[in-house]
Amino acid sequence: MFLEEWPLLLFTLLSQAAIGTFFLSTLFETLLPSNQEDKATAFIKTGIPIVGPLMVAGLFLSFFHLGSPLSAVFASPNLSSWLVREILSTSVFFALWVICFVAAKKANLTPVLQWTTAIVGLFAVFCMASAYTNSIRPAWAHLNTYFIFFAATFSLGLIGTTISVAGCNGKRVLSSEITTTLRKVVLSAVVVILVPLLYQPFFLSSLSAGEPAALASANLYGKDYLLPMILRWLLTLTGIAVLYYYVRSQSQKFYAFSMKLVCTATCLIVAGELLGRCLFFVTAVSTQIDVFH
Amino acid sequence: MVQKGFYFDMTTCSGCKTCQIACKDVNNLEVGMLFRKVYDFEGGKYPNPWSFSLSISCNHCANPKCVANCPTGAMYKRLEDGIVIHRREKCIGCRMCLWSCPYGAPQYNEKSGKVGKCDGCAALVDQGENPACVDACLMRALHFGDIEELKKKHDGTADVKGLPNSATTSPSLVIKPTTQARR
Amino acid sequence: MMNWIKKAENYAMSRRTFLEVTGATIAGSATLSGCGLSKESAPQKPLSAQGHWISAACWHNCGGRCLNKALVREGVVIRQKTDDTHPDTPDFPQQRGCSRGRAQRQQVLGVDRLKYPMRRKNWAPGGGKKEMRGNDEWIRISWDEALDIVAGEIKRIKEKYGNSSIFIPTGSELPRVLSLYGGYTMRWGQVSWGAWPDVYPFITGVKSQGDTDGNDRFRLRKSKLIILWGANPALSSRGNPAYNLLQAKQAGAKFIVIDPIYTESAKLFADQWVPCRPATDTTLILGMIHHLVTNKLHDQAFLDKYCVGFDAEHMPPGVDPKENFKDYLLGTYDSTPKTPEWAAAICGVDSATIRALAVEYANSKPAAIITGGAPARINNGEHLPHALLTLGFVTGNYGIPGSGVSPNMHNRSTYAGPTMVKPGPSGIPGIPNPLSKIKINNGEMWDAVLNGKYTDGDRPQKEINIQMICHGFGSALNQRAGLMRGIEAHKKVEFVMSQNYVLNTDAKYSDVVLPVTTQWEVDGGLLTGNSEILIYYQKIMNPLHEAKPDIWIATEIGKRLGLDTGKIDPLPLKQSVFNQIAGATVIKPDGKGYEKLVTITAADIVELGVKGTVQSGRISYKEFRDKGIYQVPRGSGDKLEFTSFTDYLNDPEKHKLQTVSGKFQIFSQELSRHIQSFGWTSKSPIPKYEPSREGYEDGVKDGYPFQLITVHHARRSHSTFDNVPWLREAYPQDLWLSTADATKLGIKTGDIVKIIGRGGMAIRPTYVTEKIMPGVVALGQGAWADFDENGIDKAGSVNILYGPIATGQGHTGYNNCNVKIEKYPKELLPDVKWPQRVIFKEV
Ligand SMILES: Nc1nc2c(c(=O)[nH]1)N[C@H]1C(S)=C(S)[C@@H](COP(=O)(O)OP(=O)(O)OC[C@H]3O[C@@H](n4cnc5c(=O)[nH]c(N)nc54)[C@H](O)[C@@H]3O)O[C@H]1N2
Ligand SMILES: Nc1nc2c(c(=O)[nH]1)N[C@H]1C(S)=C(S)[C@@H](COP(=O)(O)OP(=O)(O)OC[C@H]3O[C@@H](n4cnc5c(=O)[nH]c(N)nc54)[C@H](O)[C@@H]3O)O[C@H]1N2
Ligand code: SF4
Ligand code: SF4
Ligand code: SF4
Ligand code: SF4
Ligand code: SF4
Ligand SMILES: [Mo]
Repeated sequence: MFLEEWPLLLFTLLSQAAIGTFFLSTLFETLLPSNQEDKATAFIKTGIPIVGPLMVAGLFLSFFHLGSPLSAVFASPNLSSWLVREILSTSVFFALWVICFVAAKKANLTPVLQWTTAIVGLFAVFCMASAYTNSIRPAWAHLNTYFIFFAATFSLGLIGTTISVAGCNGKRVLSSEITTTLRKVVLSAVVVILVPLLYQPFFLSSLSAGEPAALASANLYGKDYLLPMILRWLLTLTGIAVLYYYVRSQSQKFYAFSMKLVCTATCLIVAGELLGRCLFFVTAVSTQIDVFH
Repeated sequence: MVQKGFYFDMTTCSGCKTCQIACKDVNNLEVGMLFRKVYDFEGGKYPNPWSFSLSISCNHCANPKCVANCPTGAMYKRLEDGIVIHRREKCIGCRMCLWSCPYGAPQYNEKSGKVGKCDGCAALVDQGENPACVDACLMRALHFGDIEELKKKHDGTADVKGLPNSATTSPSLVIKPTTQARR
Repeated sequence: MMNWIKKAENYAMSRRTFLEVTGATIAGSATLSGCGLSKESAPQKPLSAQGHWISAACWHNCGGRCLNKALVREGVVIRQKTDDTHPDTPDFPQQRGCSRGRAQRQQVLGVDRLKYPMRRKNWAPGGGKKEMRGNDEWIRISWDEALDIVAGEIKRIKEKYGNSSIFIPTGSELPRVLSLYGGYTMRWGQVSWGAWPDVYPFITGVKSQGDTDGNDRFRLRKSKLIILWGANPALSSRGNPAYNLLQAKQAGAKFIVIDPIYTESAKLFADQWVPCRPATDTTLILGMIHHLVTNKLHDQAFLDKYCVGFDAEHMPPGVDPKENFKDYLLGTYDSTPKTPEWAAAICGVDSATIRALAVEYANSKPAAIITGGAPARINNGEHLPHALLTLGFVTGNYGIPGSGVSPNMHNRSTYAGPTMVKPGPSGIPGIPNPLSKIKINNGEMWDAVLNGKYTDGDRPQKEINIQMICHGFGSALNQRAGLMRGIEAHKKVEFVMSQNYVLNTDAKYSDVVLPVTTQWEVDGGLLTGNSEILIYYQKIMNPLHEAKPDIWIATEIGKRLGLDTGKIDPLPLKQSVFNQIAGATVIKPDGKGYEKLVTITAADIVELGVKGTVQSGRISYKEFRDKGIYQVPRGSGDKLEFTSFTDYLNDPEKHKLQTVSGKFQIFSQELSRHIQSFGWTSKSPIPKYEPSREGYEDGVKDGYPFQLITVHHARRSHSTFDNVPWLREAYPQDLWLSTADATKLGIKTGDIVKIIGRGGMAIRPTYVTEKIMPGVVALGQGAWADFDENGIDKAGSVNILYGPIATGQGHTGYNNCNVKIEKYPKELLPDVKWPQRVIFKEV
């Protein structure tokens, strides 16, 4: 089950990375003091482009999930299906991104357009999560799924944003305005990222109190996959810590070292999220017939 | 609308699986695909064991999550009798229905890249016949018809040990449980 | 990561562990993976209007007989159905087919059908590389070449070694050829009814194994108590018997099931389950009788009036009165009273239960004991039928509707009484085998091939030199005890041939295999089953590939041997079927006599293109053909209801039994002598417990802690259907092991175990269950033997486990098998995923 779902797994991660990057970049830009605007523009020129390819890669992979992708031209999509909503909202996000991208090139990107795109992105993540919460897998049909998906959106988005900022600054030391803003962005993302971790005990206890499939999931989380679960959080949290350290320790002579820090943080966070997403799939036991009540 | 559904008398089912095979025949199903499946349960302690079987297909639920979550409308509920049909040509093989059905009714076929499911033998029913599985039953434990009538006639339940909570999809299924299968 | 992937795959396992915690488990796993025949997942259902329905043969020795139909469109079978020729009621039920019959299409049209005549690559006249039998390659040959080889070898071997060197364990039509050609050696021995056939006539005077005695389905509704004693009709009498018993239950009968397994029938009916060690039932019976007799709960008047041999006062003339049953029971002379405690130590049923069971049975009248062949399918088991019948005598539970003791197994379960509708003679004369005196028992045949000796009664053994084995409609190698010896025997002789439509075990070890048609590909025929029906099946389609009917093969071989083919195949099949139809008779509604069943018009005769005369009967020919069945109308209280021995009970003088004394024989010197005369084991004149070879006691003594019973399996009819994918998927071939034993051995459901018998070894997945008696393990009989490189059978083909043992009347003790069980470290793919035995792809 876990293996055959790899396209979905990657699709959710890639699209969340894209949306997260767009959202946090937008946030970054909004928070950046106005005297830094030219830098912001430069940043957007390098930053926003990575959103598109991530989305394209994600959507491309998602086709592998379909048994008959060629039939996937819906004559009449069922709008009550969260999968349809997910596809529609990600498509709208993607379309808006294209507009943003073109606008940025022409230097007439407006914050309204940017924020609209970002919010649509978040809505897409919401739809994505809802496709899972509407399933008959108790471990998915849970508030926790939203927390997990948004946390991933923000942690992966953080990387995207940081890399963009670092990248557009070339070998220059980041200005204190930029680092301060970045710090704010990191801190606000951390709040979202920590929600599922803090929620974990409530999640597990609610599963344990549930039907057999829920209990089975709780057992998988609490016993079989406890170590990977701990590892997953260690990875993510260390990654964030490294990132934060990088943002604070900006200086010319440490440039090479700093890039290593960014890479390390990226690897740690990506690994953490990938592991987390695998666990999300592997621990989701279906409500089914052969389980006694 | 008349809602059609199944009555299953667990107390007289031998677990012989003739219904399962009749279904495979009428649907020409390959190994791995079971539109109707007989499950055997046991419990108790020697020398007082107990066991019962459940013969389960799609329950043509009043509240079919499979239909709600199917992006293409391949899964749809017939207005005239509530039978939930799967339209093959519309199916994209996204398996949302597998994620939505607590009864394991829709099944994915790796080779065709599409899902298949019990359609209540709608084609036969439309001709005034019974579903193949029903007329196959050696113990006459399976019946098909207006679920309200069946509910009236047999005082049963869709909530027995081994089955998921019926609140999820409101299956059109009445079961007469054995003592041990009661919940 | 790898580790998790594995975890993900194994997550079904963790679910199982979880289930154990909740105290419940599910039989079989729910893995779904695509692999099989058709590509479609949900094609349109073929509707009746899209073809026409033809009644289709279901011709196996399956324990039932049902009406199956095939929907045929342009010569292609697109689906099946069952009896819908009349509305279904409990009194006049449809003859609905079981899962196997419903999967017949997959057998007849399976990708593994034999397509062409073939021979072993390393075969040469005289055998060639004989040791390669079973592992050689197959070469497609023409019919001419195949028939020349077979006829040539018959001739050569006959000339070199004589006719007796040609052994036909089960042939299809080939015996006709060899009977004309000087004769052949036959095989004999009861496999189904265990020790019943030769015991029943001596005790009751009825010349049968007892299967037609007891009660019919209506009379069973009068029983207050029904004991299913080693009988599981829900599985081994598929069709209506379990449904008929349900009517008895709903009419108020209490059910007790005495069986080492909590069976499907126990699940359906049992108010009480009494697990008993296999092959030790006689002790349980004796313990019950002991309790009844010592507490004066027995029916002395019945014993005095209707039986001989119970006590010293009622012994037949000329025998020592001390040999009476009662004194054996009380231990008067052997100082071992057969108390419930004595019994409990052997049969594993505690003494309190034995006492309660005895009282319950004695106090419930009418009570019916229905048994299968299984409890008597034990070595030197003649005491079991004798004891069980005696239990009935001791309580006087005879002759009143709903009472009796009877082995109503197979398609006689719930259908005791006369056959109400029967086919006429086919008009094909039999051809006597000139060597009919040379027959080898099942328990000795492979040893006889290997050692050249066989038992011929109570005399010195005789010599035999078998050099040719011919297999037909049967699976002697796979289905008889001593399969490993059988393989050796097959590798020894000069020629082995098979006629079959699949590569079963016998065919696999042959030199030449001839593909035959199934009954769907021939010009129809009649089938009998339970006492109320006669089935008329039609041709469904033309022969597949190069398959030919058995009779064509026989004729062609006969031609090559210069025989009169007119004697081999004297009548076209159409004509012989017509003769059977024209001669078919049906019982009159008052039960007195029979009348013609079918009206035949001149037009029918012309249409059929047969010779015949016009006649009138109960139904028209066309109705018979179109329905495919005639079912005798029945209703509660009709004149056809049946209970055996009512006449004798009403007037024992006028309706004397056909026994020596005219009474039930609790003492039978004649039976004892008869069994002695077979030359293997002895039988006391009274129902005395005589432990079986490889029974419980031998197992304990020789360090084989488990008693294996080899039950008839839901997947198959013996070895037939074992290859059908839908059935493999539905019914796993698992070893049943009790939770108590599994815990001791550290085995879980799904673990692979090695089953070690005295004759060979098999590996199988385990099903751990509360539903089997500790110390007993069960494995379905009939799987197609399939050996790995170490000679271990992977399929769980039970007959590899036994050494063949001949005892008693020459029946086979299939439920005597002592085994050891060990955990097996390697994995084993479920057999549904094994490649099918496809020899040649179609060209
Ligand atoms: N599905 C299926 N049905 C069949 C057949 C088949 O191959 N498959 N074959 C048909 C044929 S030819 C025959 S002869 C019949 C056989 O019919 P049966 O002899 O009735 O069938 P079995 O399954 O061998 O055994 C019946 C029951 O006896 C129990 N038993 C075994 N040994 C003992 C014992 O020592 N004591 C007691 N008390 N119980 C015991 C077994 O656990 C089993 O539940 O079945 C017929 N029906
Ligand atoms: N261990 C163990 N062994 C047992 C038993 C047991 O309880 N335990 N039960 C025993 C009993 S009761 C019985 S009756 C026997 C049954 O044993 P068999 O009589 O040997 O029965 P099958 O295995 O069904 O073999 C029938 C074969 O004939 C083939 N066949 C079918 N139709 C035709 C045809 O028209 N022409 C030709 N040429 N071939 C055809 C089928 O493909 C199949 O290979 O098994 C016995 N074996
Ligand atoms: S049983 Fe499952 S597939 Fe059938 S209608 Fe209900 S939810 Fe849908
Ligand atoms: S797999 Fe087919 S039927 Fe199932 S939800 Fe997707 S499109 Fe609908
Ligand atoms: S109604 Fe038809 S498709 Fe559904 S389970 Fe029965 S036989 Fe199969
Ligand atoms: S055919 Fe009838 S008795 Fe047999 S398993 Fe199905 S529902 Fe039960
Ligand atoms: S019981 Fe025998 S005759 Fe009836 S359908 Fe099954 S296999 Fe065929
Ligand atoms: Mo048999």
